[in-house]
Amino acid sequence: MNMTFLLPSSVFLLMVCSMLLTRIKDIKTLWNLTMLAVVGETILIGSLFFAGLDGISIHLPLFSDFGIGFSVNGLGLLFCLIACVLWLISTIQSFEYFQHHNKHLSRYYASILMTLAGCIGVFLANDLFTLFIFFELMSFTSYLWVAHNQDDQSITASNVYLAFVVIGGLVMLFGLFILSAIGGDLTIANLTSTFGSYKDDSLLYIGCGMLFFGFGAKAGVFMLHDWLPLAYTASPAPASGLLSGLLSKTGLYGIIIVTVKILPHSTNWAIFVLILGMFNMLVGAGLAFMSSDLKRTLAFSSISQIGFILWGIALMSLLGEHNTIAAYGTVMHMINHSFIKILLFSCAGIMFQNTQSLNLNDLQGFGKNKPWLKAVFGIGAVSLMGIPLFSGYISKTLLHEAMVEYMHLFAPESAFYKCSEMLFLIAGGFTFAYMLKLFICLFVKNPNKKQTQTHYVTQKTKIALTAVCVILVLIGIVPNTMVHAVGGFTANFMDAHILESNVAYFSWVNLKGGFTSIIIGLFIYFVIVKTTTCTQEKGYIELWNPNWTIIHLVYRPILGAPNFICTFFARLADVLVDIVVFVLNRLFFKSVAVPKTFLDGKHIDDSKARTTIHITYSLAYSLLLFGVGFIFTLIYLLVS
Amino acid sequence: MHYVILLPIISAFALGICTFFMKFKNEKSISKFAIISAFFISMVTFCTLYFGFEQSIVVLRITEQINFGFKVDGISVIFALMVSILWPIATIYASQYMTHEGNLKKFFTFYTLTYGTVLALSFSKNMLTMYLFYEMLTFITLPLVTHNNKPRDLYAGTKYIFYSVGGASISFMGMMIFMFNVGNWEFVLGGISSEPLTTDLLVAYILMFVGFSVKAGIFPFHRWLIDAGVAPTPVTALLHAVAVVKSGAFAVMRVTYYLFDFESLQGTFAQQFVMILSIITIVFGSAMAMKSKHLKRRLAYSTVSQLSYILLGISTMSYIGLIAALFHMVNHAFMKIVLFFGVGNVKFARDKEYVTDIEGCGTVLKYTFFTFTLCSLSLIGIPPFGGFFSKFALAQSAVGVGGSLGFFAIAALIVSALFTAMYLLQIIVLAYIPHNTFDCSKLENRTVVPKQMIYTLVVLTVIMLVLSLGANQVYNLIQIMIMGEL
Repeated sequence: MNMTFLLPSSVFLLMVCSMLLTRIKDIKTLWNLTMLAVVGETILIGSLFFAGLDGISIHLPLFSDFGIGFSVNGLGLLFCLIACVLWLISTIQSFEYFQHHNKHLSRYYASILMTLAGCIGVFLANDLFTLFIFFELMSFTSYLWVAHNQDDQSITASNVYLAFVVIGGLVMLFGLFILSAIGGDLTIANLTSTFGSYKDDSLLYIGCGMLFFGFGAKAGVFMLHDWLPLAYTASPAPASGLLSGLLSKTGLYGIIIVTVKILPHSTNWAIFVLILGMFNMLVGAGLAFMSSDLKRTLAFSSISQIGFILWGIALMSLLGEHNTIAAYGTVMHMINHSFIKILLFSCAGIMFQNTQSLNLNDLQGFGKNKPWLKAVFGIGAVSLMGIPLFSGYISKTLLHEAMVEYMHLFAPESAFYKCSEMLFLIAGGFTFAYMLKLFICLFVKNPNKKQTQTHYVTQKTKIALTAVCVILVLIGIVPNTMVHAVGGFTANFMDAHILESNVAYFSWVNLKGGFTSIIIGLFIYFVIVKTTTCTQEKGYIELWNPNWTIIHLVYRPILGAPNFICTFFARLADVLVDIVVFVLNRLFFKSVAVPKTFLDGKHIDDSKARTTIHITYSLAYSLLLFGVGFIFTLIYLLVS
Repeated sequence: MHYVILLPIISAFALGICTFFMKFKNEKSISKFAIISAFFISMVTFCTLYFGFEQSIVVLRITEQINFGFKVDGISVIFALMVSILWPIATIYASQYMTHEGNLKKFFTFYTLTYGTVLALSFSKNMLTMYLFYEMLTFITLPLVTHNNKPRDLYAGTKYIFYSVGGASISFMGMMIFMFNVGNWEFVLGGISSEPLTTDLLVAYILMFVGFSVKAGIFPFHRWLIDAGVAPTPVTALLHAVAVVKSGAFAVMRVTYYLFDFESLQGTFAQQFVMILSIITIVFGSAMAMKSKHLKRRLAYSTVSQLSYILLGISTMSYIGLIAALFHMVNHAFMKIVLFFGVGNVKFARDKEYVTDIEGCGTVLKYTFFTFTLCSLSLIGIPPFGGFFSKFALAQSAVGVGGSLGFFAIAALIVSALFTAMYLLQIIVLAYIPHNTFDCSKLENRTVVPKQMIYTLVVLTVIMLVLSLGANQVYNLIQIMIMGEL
C-alpha cells in the first residue's frame, strides 16, 4: 500500500485543526480538541516510522522550480516524534497554567497547533525551499506565544522576536536565492553532491553564511542570542518550554544541513562554527549564573547548551570520515536538551502559577516540602549538569570523546584545541554551578514567606513530567542501548557510520572529565556564585544589567543609522519636489496663495486655499505646457 | 468580426453617460444600475477578448500615420482581464461605501466612464490612440479625486492634474522625436524599425519613460499619488492602486517593448537611467511608507514602491523582465486593492485613519483584518503567496542584467521587502495584539460594515490565493500571451 499520503497529511491536517480551533471559545473544549489533535499527530508520526518511506518524496509544484516537497529522513523523523512528545507535555500543562489567565486562549491553542505543523514541515521537508516556508510559518505563529500576555514586557520581547524572525527570514531567503543560482537543485538529500564541485566558490560561502544567519537567529547562536532571554521570560511557561525545547532545534537542524550537507569537511567553516559554539557555551553559562530570574537563567542555559551542540556539529564536520561519535553525541545532546528544558520550564510554570513570580527571591524555598517537584526538578538539573548515571553525562561524554578523538587523529599538539577542550570542561562547570544555585535556592533554602498551599499541581502534569524523568534516567542508566538505537537511526542523514562498539561511559578516563567539570562547578559555586549573586543580606541579585544586550549596544545603533540616513534623504527629496511645485506655482499663479503642503498626519488648512481659481488656472497651465511642447517640436523640426 | 473590439468601449461610455442622464428613484437604484453595468461591460470585455483576439480595427484615418484604432494583443488581454475582473467587484464595494459620501450619480457616471477609458487605453493600436486615452483618463478621473469638493480635495485634484498633464507633455515631446525619426508608431512587439538606436531616440525613450511613469508615481513625481489619498477609498483603491497607476506602467510597457527594439536598448545609458530611477523609487517608497502614520498615505507610498518593482522589471529590457513585471502587476492589483479596502472598512466603521488608532481593531473587524493579513503577507513576499513568486521572477530578471546595476536591483528588492514587512506587520500586530491595558470595549457598538463590503474583500482574497497557488499557470499564461508559445 502506498503510504506517501501520510507525509503531507501529517502537516496539513494540523493546519486545518488549527483553523478550526479559532472558532471555539470554551476552554475545556479547546483543550480537549488540542489534545486530540496532538495525540492524532503523534500517531501519524509514529506510523511514519513503519510506513517504509525511505527515499520516497512527494512534490506539490508551486512556481517554476519551487514547490512543497516532503520526504523522510532519520534525524528529521526522530525530531518529529520528539516534537509530538514535547507538544503533548506542554499541552497537558497548559490546562492548569491558563486556569487563571484565560484570555486569548483560542488564539494560543491555534498557534500551538500551527507551530507544530510548521515544525513537522521543517523536519519532513524534502528541499530547502519547503524547509524555509515552514520555518517562516513556525516563526510567525510562535510570535503569538511571545506576545501572548500583551503587557509591556511581552510586547517589547515580541517586537524583538519579530525583528529577528523577519530579518533572519529575509537574509535566509537571499541565501537560498544564491544557492539556487549556484547549484540549482536544493533537495536536501542531494545537497552534498550538488555543491560538491563548488567548494572554492566564495559565493557558496556567502550563501551558506546567510542561511546560517537565518537558522542561527532561531537557534540563538552567539551575537543573535539576545531575543532568547526576552522571549522565554515573556511567553507563558508551556510555550517557553517549546521555544527552548524544540524551536531552537529547528534552527540547529538547519545548521546541521548547512555544515554537514552543503559544506562537508570544510575546515574553515567548521572552525567558525566551533568558535561560535564556544562563545555560546561560555557567554550563556556566564550570564546564567548572574541572573536572578528563574526563566532568564533557563534561557541563558539554553544558549549555553546550544553552544555544546554547535561544538558537536563543528566536530562532525571536522572529523570527516571518523565523525560517528561526534554525530551520536550531537544528536543525543539535542534530544537531552529538548527533554531537560521542557521539564525545567514546566517546573518553572508550576512555580509561576502558584506564586505569580519568577524572581528567585520570591521563589526561594518554594519546593522545600514538595518531594515530587524536588525529585523532578532534581533529575532535570543533574541531567543538565552532566552527573554520571543521568542523561546529560552521556551526551557530554560523547562530545568530549569526539574532541579527544580529533586531537588524537589530526592535531595532537594544537594549543587551540587543547584550549577549547578546557573551555568545554569549564563551561560544564558553569552549568553545574548555576543549576546548583537554582536547586539550592528553590529546594534547600527556607522560604521567605510562609506558604499555605498544599495542592500545587494536577495529576496529569505529574504523570507527564514523571514520564520525561523516566526517559532521562533510562538514557543515563542504559546508555549504550539508547545511543545505539538513536544514533543508528540518524547516522545516515549525517553521513556517519554506525557505531560498532560500545563506548565505555563509566571508564575512568570518561568519568575523569565529568568529575573535573563537577569540581570546577563546585569551585565556581562556592567561590564566585556564593559571594556575588546570592549574598545573605541582599538575597539574589541580578549582576548583569538586562539592558546590556547586543541589541542595545550594537544592532540598534548600526541598524538605526542607515535608516536615519535613508529617511533623511527621502525627506530631503520630498522637500525638493515641494520646492519645485512651489516655484512652478509662483511662476504661473501670481495671485493665488500657495497652500501649505501636506505634512504627515496634518491636513491642509481648508480656509487658506482659494481653489476654484486653481482649477481654471491649471487648465491654463496644461495648455501652456502643450504650447511648450509644441514650440519644442517646432524648434526640433527646424533644426533637423 | 473586428467590430467586436469596439463593443466594450462603446458600451462603457454609453452606460456611463446613461447613468448621468437617466432618472433614478433613489440612490440605491443608481448603485444597482452601476453594478449591473459594470458586470455587463466585464461580460462584453470577456467576449471581446475571446472573439477579438489578435484582430484590429481602424476607427478614424486622417493620414497614414495619424489614425486612431484598436487592437487586442497579448499584453492588452492581460491588462483588460485584470481590470475587468476587478472593476465589478470594486463597484459593489463602492456602492456600499459611497453611501457615506453622497453624490452617487456624479460618482458612478465618472466611475463607469473611467472603466471605458482604461479599456480603450489597453486596446489602443498605436501611440496616438493611447496618448489620447491616457490624457482622457486624467480628466475623467479628476471629478472622482475631487469628489467631496472640499478645498483639500481640490488641492489634491490640482496636483494630480499638474503632474499627470505635465508628465504626458514630457512624453509627448518624446513621442514627437520618435515619430520624426522612425515615421511610424504602431505597436509591434520588438519595435517596428530595426534601425540602430541614435542618441535622439534614446533621449526620446527617456522622455517617454519618465513622462508616462509619472502616473506610476516614479520618484521625483510621486507626490500627486500621496495627496490624492484624500479621495474616497474606492477611488483610491481602484484608481490609485490599480487603474490609473497601472495605466502608467502599461504605457511604459507599450513604449519599451512595442515601440522600441528593446534588446538593443540593453546596456545603453537610457536603460541605466531608468533603472537607477526605479531602484531609487523602490527604496524611497518603502522608506517613506515606514515613516507615514496615516494609513492611506502609508499604502500610497507602498504603491509608489511596488509600482517601481514593475518599472524595474520593464527596465531590464528582456522578455523575462516584461513577463515578471506583468506578473507582479496582476498580483499587486489584487493584494493592494484588498489592503486599501481593508483600510476603507476601518474608516467606514470606526472612522479611524491613523496607524496608532488601529489598536485592537483586529478583534472587532475580523474578516477585514484576516484578509488584510493574508494580503500583507503576500505583499511582503512570504512564500507560498503570489507576491513572493512575482518578486522572485523580478529578481531573476534583474540577475539577467548583471553587473553592479543588477546587484543593486536585487539589494533594493531585499531592503524594500524588509521595509515592507516592517510597515505592514506594524499595522497587523497593533490590530491583533493591543496592549492588555487597552479597553477593547471602546471599539464595540459602532457602525456595522455592510455584508457586501466584507464579501468583496473575501472574494478578492480568494482570487489572490488562487493566483498564488496557480502561480505557475498564471506565469505560463502571461508568457504564452506575450510570446505566442512557451
